[in-house]
Amino acid sequence: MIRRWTFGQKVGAGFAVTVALSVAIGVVAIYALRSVVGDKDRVIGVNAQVLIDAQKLYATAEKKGGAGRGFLLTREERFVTELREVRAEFTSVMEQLARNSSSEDERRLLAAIERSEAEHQQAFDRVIALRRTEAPLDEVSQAFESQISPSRARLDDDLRAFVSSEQQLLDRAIRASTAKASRSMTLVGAIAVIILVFASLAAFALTRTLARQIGTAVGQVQSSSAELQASATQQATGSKEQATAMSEISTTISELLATSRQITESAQRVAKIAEQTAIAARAGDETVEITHQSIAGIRRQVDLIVNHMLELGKKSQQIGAVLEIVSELAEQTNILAINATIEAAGAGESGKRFAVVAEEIRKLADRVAGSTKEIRGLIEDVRSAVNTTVMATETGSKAVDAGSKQFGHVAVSFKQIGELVVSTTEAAREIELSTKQQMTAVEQVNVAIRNVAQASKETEASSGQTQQTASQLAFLSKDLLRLVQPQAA
Amino acid sequence: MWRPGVSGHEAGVVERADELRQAFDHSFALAPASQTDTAIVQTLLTVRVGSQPYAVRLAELSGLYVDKPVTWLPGPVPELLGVAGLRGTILPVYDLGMLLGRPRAATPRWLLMTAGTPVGLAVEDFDGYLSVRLEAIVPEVRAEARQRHVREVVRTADLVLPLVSLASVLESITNRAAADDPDREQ
Repeated sequence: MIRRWTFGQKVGAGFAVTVALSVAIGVVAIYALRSVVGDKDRVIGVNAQVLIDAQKLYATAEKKGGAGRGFLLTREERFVTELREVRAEFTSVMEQLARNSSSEDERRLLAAIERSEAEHQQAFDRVIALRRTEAPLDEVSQAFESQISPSRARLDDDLRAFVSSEQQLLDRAIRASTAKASRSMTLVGAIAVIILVFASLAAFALTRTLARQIGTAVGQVQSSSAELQASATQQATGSKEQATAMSEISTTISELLATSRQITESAQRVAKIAEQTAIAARAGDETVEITHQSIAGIRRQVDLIVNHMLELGKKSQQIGAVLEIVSELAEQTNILAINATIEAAGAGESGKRFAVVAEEIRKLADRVAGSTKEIRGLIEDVRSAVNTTVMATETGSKAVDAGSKQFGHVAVSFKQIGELVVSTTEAAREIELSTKQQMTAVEQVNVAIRNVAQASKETEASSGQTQQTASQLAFLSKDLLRLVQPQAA
Repeated sequence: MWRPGVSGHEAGVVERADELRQAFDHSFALAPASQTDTAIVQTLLTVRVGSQPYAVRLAELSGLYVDKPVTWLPGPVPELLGVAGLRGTILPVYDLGMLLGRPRAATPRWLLMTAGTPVGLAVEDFDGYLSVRLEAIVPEVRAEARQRHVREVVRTADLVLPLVSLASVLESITNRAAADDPDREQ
């Protein structure tokens, strides 16, 4: 906690503790002085006053004796009056003493004084009365000696005893007060010594801590200033390189600007070409659609041809079946004719004419058989042709299907081309717009680069100043280190 | 006659039919005296035995039949295919090819019925009717070409056919039958 305090806090804390101890010592000193002063006041105000009052009693007793003796000598009434006044004063002092008495001894001594004074007053009253009676002086003198002097001697004894007692009390109080003042002086001195020791320790610790921390900080400042110097040097070098790079970047950006203009022109051309391509693609799409319809018509015709050809094949088969019957009839006719010829030969002369007929029938059957063979060949040719045609038409149909599919693909491709061309047009326009924005941005970048180049030059100058400041800071940190740690400097 | 859409090929077929009709009518228009003299003309049938063409005299036949059912008859004679009913008569049917020394025919379809002793001779195919002059029938002089029951050949301008002697075939059959008949031997 204390380690995190600032120097001001630490110094302030030291001063605060010192001030607190000073206040404490002041308070203790004030308390001691007040106590001593109280004791002294009490000694002076009570004990000394009592002693003075006791002395006053002495003086009053003397004055009382003088006034009595004056009356006894002169018989003047003013001395009686004086005597009364002195006695009133005596009584007043006694009351004062009675109020200030604090011990039993004092009250006992005061009671003894009061009794002695009463006896002394009674003795005076009797002698004064005697003096008023015109009694001889000797008798008065004798009465004085016999009555007043002994009471006066007791009164004086009691007064001396009281004064002596009060003198002892005063001496005791003075000694007690002196002892208290000495203890207070000793306490204040001890506290002063403690404060001195604490202040020395605090000053030592504070000095040591501050010297160490300031030394550490100064060392760090020294290393930081060295690093700052190195950084400033690097920054200066970097600023130079940055200025050079900025110049190159500015040149490159100028070239980029020219390239962006070319890109814009190319994008415009691409957009125009894309529009033309879109028109051509739409035309191609329409052409493909027409062709697709034509192919569908061709396909229907081809299907019709295939159906006709298949029908023709069926008819050919039927013709073949009929021809088989004709061929079989011809064969049977031929057999019949041959057998008729054989029979006619066996019939002798009468069978010759029948033999001629049979021969002609056989020839006819023979020719019919030959013709049926030819017809069979023709039918085979027709069937072969039909098969070939069907196969060709099927192949054509497949080709038409393939063509139709391909045209479908072509149509889809044309649609895709159209969509792609639209996308290309939009992309070209976006490229054009983006390139224009890019040109604006590049021009702004160019301006920014020039600003940065200017800033780099300023940074270079600032780096020189920073370098100089770092050198001064290093020098100052050395001085400061020498101030706080002379042995380290 | 108007024929719609008749091509050249069809016109030829129609023309051919007309020729046939005219020839048929023309044969009846001639006088009987102008008929071919049978004495100098020999009528033959051409047949196929094991894909080999042969000729037989029509005079040695009493009939020609096709696709007649032959009932197989077990026996020691391999050439005998069985018996067949022709004109109400049960006839033995022999394989002419085997009788000529050739291997057995696969499916003999035609039957030749011999004159005199009626016997059925089975052949694979019947080619046609052939009329030749007597001088066209010459003896077979080539020793390497001689076969059983073939002693003559028919030689025309465009073909040479071995002529099978059905009399020799019948004689051979008769002799074998006589040899196999124990009562006949006694």
